[in-house]
Amino acid sequence: MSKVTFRKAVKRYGTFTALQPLDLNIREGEFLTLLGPSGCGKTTTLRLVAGFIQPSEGDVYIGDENVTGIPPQKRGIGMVFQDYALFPHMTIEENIGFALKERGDSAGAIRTRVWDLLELVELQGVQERYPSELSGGQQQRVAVARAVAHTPRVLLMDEPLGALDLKLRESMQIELRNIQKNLGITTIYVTHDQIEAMNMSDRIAVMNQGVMEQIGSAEEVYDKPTTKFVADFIGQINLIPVDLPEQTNGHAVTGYMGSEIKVGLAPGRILPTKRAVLGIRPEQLDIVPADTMPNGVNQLSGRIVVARFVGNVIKVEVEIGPEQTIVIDSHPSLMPQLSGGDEVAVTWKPEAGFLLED
Amino acid sequence: MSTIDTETRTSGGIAPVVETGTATGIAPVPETRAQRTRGAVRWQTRQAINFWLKWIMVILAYVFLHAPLIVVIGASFNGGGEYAAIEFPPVSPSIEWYFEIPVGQFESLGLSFALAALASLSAVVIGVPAALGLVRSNLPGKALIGIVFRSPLQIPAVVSGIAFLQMFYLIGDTTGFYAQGGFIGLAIGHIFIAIPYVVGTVVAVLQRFDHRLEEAALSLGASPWRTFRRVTLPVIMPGVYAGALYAFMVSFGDVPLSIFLTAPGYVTYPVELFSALENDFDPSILASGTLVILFCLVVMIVVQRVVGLDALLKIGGTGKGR
Repeated sequence: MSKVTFRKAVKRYGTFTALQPLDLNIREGEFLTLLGPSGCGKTTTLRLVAGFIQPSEGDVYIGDENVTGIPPQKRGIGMVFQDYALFPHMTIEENIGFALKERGDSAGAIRTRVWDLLELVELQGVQERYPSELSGGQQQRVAVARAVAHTPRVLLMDEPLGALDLKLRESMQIELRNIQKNLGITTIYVTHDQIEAMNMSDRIAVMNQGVMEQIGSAEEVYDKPTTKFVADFIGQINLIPVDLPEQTNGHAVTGYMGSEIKVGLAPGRILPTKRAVLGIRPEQLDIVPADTMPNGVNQLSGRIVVARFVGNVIKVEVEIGPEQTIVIDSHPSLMPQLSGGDEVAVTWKPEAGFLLED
Repeated sequence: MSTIDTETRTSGGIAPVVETGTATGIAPVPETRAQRTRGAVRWQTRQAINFWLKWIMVILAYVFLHAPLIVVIGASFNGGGEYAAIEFPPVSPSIEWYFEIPVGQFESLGLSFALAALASLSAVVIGVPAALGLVRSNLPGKALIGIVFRSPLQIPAVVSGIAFLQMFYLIGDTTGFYAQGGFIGLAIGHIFIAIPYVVGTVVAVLQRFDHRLEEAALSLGASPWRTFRRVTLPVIMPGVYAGALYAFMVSFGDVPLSIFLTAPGYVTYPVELFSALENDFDPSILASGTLVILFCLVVMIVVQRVVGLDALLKIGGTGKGR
């Protein structure tokens, strides 16, 4: 169990910069997820910790040890790969015991440890079999057991659930998280699936084009995104181009098409200075009759384009300006009152919105 | 296809027609029983034709491949006169020709086995690292090196034979050591023609090799050498076996190259047979040929038992893999 630290780590391939200078502290025992679209640098970051690649500049630390330049086999890591990468010519027991044998443990010690690990991942009785004889989910568990057998300092996981179907993926998320908590092992997890990230992580680091845009708990990145990319990537959001805001006591004031909009300001929040967008989650918006008087809330008027029933909510699209629609999550019981073409007003509390640099 | 056809198909394959008719007879189908029966008959006939056609093709293929062998084996049991032609089926069966095989042929056979074993072994020793270099490294002239390693396949063996002969003379004229007409000359030539087979199969396996297996081994604390020994080599081993087997067979059967490099005392088995047939036909050739065929059969069975021929033929398949 060790912390992992990046100090100004950069990775370049020729003229392409896969990872912009990164400073990151991963705490002891933490489950940190690197989240972002493909090509965002999350796998590069993970492979820098593994030692499969070396930073072009800067340093990587595991615990207090600077591991820059140290090859993977000397780093004390464990890794789970997307397609598991189990050794096809070895039995499950040999797979799980691989690191222990390399370390020089006795055959008896290896056997005992493998049994314990199979119990941990709830797969007793398969030790004589070969990986091809197991299902995807079972192979996944073996891969995890193999990666933690030698009690590595860090556990690295590269989209380990990507090959499983949805149902299994969800139950494996919980299971992986439980195993990680049991072992208390520092874990870096790579995924492009935001739900997965939110389900499992202590903290999520959202990456885009080689830059770590924001790092925080699931609540923080969802409720208080600091960049437009993060706001857009995590969950659904309405982004409305607004006037440059001005700060007045405790909140910011901006405007859209002549309507004044108040935005609550969290302490330390920096206001956009070039072009501003206002972000509001669909579930934070309410639809009221067009003639309602504003009452301490922000209000924009518009026309319903369409209302779609999607099960637990109705997704209402409202046109609030030229080529500007926003989506509101409304309660299904309101469906009869919402029809295309109706003039309505959309309201939200000042603290529900946030201002971002466009 | 009418609906009844589908029904018949699901209700159980090649069941007799009449039975199918009765079984579904209760269902209110707007066709008469006779029509239904006809539909089923058509489908059944087609199934039967497919079945038999498949078997006929398989049998024809086997006959095509094995008929020459069977003729050779059969004719080797001919009895009678010294200058009997190839007779199949054998007349007055006997095994007399098996006692007429010249001792020289057994010596040649021994030489050919030694050569083939040496050639395939050397091809593995040279070819596996070569294949690793060709696939894994980023040498600047990689494509060119690949062509060099494959070239023995593209140059006609006769040309190679002449070239080796010339080269050995040249070397002999300057150093005084003439390699042709001896074991060393033959061995060099056979290794030359054997290498591409090992390089070819191992390159094929390596190209399909999942490099994350190696990353996994490294991450689990294995050094690069241990990773190669415990993971890479075992996974590519079927390809190595297959390449070695091909190399052995190519070396063992070679005439056009060997014929230039043989000399009295160093005549390979195929060259020996070739020259024996050239001079005059001796039925003992059939007998010795039969012995070699049987020997190869035994080797194949042993290989099948020990390694599994499927594994060899399925080169690159990671064996117990995904």
